[in-house]
Amino acid sequence: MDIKAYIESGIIERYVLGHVSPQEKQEVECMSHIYAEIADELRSIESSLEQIAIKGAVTPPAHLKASIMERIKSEEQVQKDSNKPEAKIIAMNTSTPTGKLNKYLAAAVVFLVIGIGGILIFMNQQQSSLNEQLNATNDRLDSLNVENAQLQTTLVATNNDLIFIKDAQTMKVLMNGTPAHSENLATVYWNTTSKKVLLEVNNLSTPPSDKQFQLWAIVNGQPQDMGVFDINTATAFLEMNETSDAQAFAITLEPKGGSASPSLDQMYVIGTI
Amino acid sequence: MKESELHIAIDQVKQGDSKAFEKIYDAYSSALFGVCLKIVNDQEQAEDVMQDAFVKIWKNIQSYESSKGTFFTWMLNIARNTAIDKLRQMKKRGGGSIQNELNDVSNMVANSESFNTNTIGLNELLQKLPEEHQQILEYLYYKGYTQQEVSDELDLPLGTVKTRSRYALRALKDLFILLLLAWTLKHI
Repeated sequence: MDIKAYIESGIIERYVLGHVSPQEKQEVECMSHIYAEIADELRSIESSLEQIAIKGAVTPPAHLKASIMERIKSEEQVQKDSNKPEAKIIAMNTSTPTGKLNKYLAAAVVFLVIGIGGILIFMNQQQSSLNEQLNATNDRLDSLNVENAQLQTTLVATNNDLIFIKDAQTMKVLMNGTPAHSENLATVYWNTTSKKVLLEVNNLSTPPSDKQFQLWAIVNGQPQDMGVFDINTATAFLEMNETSDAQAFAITLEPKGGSASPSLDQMYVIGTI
Repeated sequence: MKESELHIAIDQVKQGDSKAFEKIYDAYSSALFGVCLKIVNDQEQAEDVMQDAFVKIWKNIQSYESSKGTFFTWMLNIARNTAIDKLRQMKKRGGGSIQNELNDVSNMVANSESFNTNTIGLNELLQKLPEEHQQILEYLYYKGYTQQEVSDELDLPLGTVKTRSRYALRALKDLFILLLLAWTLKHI
């Protein structure tokens, strides 16, 4: 039974408006007993019509009540089983040749079928909610795996950096801020054997968007380009160009992409060996 | 009237207790009268409808079953059907064009000066709905047309009428939620 399709068919609206055949009427009433969803749909439409009626209430004239109360004095109430479609159906059932036992059996089968239907729907709902949970857990697991791989990579890189820094041949050169930028500070780690250079940015002012910092090595009184870099907080160390010789390191602010020779008035930090 | 009080009153009316019936009348007559007025659009005819409807409620109370819906909806259906029957009789007798009678909102307001201002409230309420939904509700709910009759009257395909009637009743639901929100905001 596709409950959604049943609701979508518009039969509930027609039931509420009174535009159904007696068979359809019974069907909707029966379905709403079996399926809570159909009962909810029916109740919510009926209740909005009730609410609209309450909102649009008009007090009737006082004499109306008196005349209605007068009229019902002479009206007998119709007893339930005299003129009801339900009563007719019961009569038809009893007139069939089947015995009483069969009637109970039939009732039991109906309840059993309804019961099994209910259990199936319940299980189906449980199943789809479990599937949803499983999917969510799998997604979470996938993202944890990705995170884990990223952490591993970072860990290996950090470990390599640490080995490099602890190496006996690695020199630590502290570059202090020039008088105009005294609060700036950066550190160069230079391995005289492997020639590798790592830069640690301790504190550098944020450059304007059209400028970039450039690292220089001073070799025999001449500046040597060690590469431009952006301040990136994600990695602790920046790998710069290699150099076999140096007496000092310095950082200047240059137009984006770097310059062939340093702008000395734009020097931020310098450190001698 | 509280739910529990209502159940007691219904049981008492089923025993033939007219005092309990008075209680039910007091609790629901104005809501039902509003609907009758909206349908027949005439004070005197609406009073007639109310008499007939309440007599039917009294006579048929034994057939009301709470498992099939609320007592209010049951009464509302009786009142609405009685009023729609009355409307059809009036049309047959008057022979007036349906179109004229259905230009209701302005008609209703013009004719209803002697009515409680709440009647205008019901029309205003419905005016908050999109026009096509208003029209559908007007015909299907308040005039008792079948979908086929609306399709003929408005020269719309039957499928369109079916779809619209689904959405119109659903829109009513949303409208009510909106009203409830507005009311809550006003009373905070």
